[in-house]
Amino acid sequence: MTILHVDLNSYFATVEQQQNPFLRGKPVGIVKDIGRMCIIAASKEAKRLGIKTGTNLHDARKLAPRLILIKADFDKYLDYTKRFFALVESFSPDVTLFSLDEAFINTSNCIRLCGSAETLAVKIQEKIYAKLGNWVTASIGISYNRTLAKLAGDHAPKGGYFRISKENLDEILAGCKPRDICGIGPRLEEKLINTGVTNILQIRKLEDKILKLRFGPFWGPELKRISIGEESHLLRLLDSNLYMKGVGRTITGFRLCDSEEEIQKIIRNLVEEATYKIRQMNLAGRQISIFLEGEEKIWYRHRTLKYHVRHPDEVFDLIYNGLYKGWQRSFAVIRFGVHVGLLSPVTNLTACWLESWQKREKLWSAVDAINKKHGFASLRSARLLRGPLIRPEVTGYLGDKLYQFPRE
Amino acid sequence: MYQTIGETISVLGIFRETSFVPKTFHWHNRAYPIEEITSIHEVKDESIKKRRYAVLSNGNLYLLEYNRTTETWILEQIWMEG
Repeated sequence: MTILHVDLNSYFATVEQQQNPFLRGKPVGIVKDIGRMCIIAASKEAKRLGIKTGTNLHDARKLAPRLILIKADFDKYLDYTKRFFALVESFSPDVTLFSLDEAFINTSNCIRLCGSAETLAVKIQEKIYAKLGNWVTASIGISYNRTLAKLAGDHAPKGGYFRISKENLDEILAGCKPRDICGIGPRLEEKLINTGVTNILQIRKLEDKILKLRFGPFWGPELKRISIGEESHLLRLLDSNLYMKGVGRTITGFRLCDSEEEIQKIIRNLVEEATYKIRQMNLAGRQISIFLEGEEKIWYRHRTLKYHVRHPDEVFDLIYNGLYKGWQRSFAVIRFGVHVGLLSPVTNLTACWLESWQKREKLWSAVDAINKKHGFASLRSARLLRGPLIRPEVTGYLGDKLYQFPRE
Repeated sequence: MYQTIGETISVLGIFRETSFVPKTFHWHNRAYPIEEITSIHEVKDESIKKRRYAVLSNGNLYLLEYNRTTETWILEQIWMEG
């Protein structure tokens, strides 16, 4: 099996540079909104100066005094992603979109048409140039599983490709830090470093017994598998992601918020978006949670229900009255988040016979039909009538890809 | 930086492979020949489908928006250097 990992370089900033030739060759930082203090994406020129995703604006200005700030246009990025997805799907029917700018292509069914994976990589790059624009480039990784293809992509030059094969595997893994592997997070890396492991190949030398003892029954064998070049658990999960397991929505405000009315409105707004997506995917969840962050403090609560919910009034009542009201508001909030988890397809659940539930289902089906035609929250709760509305937006990770790109 | 204009314009173009390709736009009684289209993307504003074009004319960048419902064009923004 040969897998290609296609990663569009410096995506948000590149799309802006594609649109605007005056930005090309210059350090560009993308901010969520004018007035925001965090760079959410940087152009390759800005990256060369040390600016990366998450860099504070003050630090970014020090690194690049001539940094050009551009307000993110998520609708544009999503439209480019849709074209990117269609483009890679034109080469193989077996494509998995991994994030807004990354896709895995299983070439098993199409490799004979192209001759080799390298030829295919060149053809993909040519098509990206033709369809997305002459400034848009992609790094392509080639290997025999997704973990290694993604790692190979990190070794590929911008606009080029790189292959990891059995022959060069050990050499690559010897130069590979734990965090370079998709699926290994900062905590696990710290634990590995404390064990004396600084590259992936070293894990192979550790005895299974020690790995299990140090990293537990899951991560012990998993790390061993990764060290011999097998696919990581996180990427194997892509095969079983038939529906979303949870839908959440977070928003960071411009300032600390201490107004009860405003907090209530924001929670309601986030709940409306999350439950709208849940209903569009015909799912229902039975775990609700809320997350609030202040300057230095975080408050979080969740509740697991014995029944499934999917209507905003019900979810809002559970989150706001059931969880939030129990909090002695001890700090002003800047970041808000709600989440509905343990989702299941409604078709797998026993139908609710309660008249009140059936009425709500009818009501929200009608609201959804109107909103689908006229746009999100065209018809919405009276609580959201005054003031600006928080609208849906995509993230670079594309956490809601199964909503944006449903599988047939 | 982008300067918002938001004024109605008229656009001349040709159809190539079922797609409309703008060639010139008229703004304030002046014709602006389009030298290059650098980007096209679709957006949905409530129920209205719009298509946004970034075009170069006389070495300047203009963002044009075509409302597919009302079939009208707007000069949305201009890029101002400096």
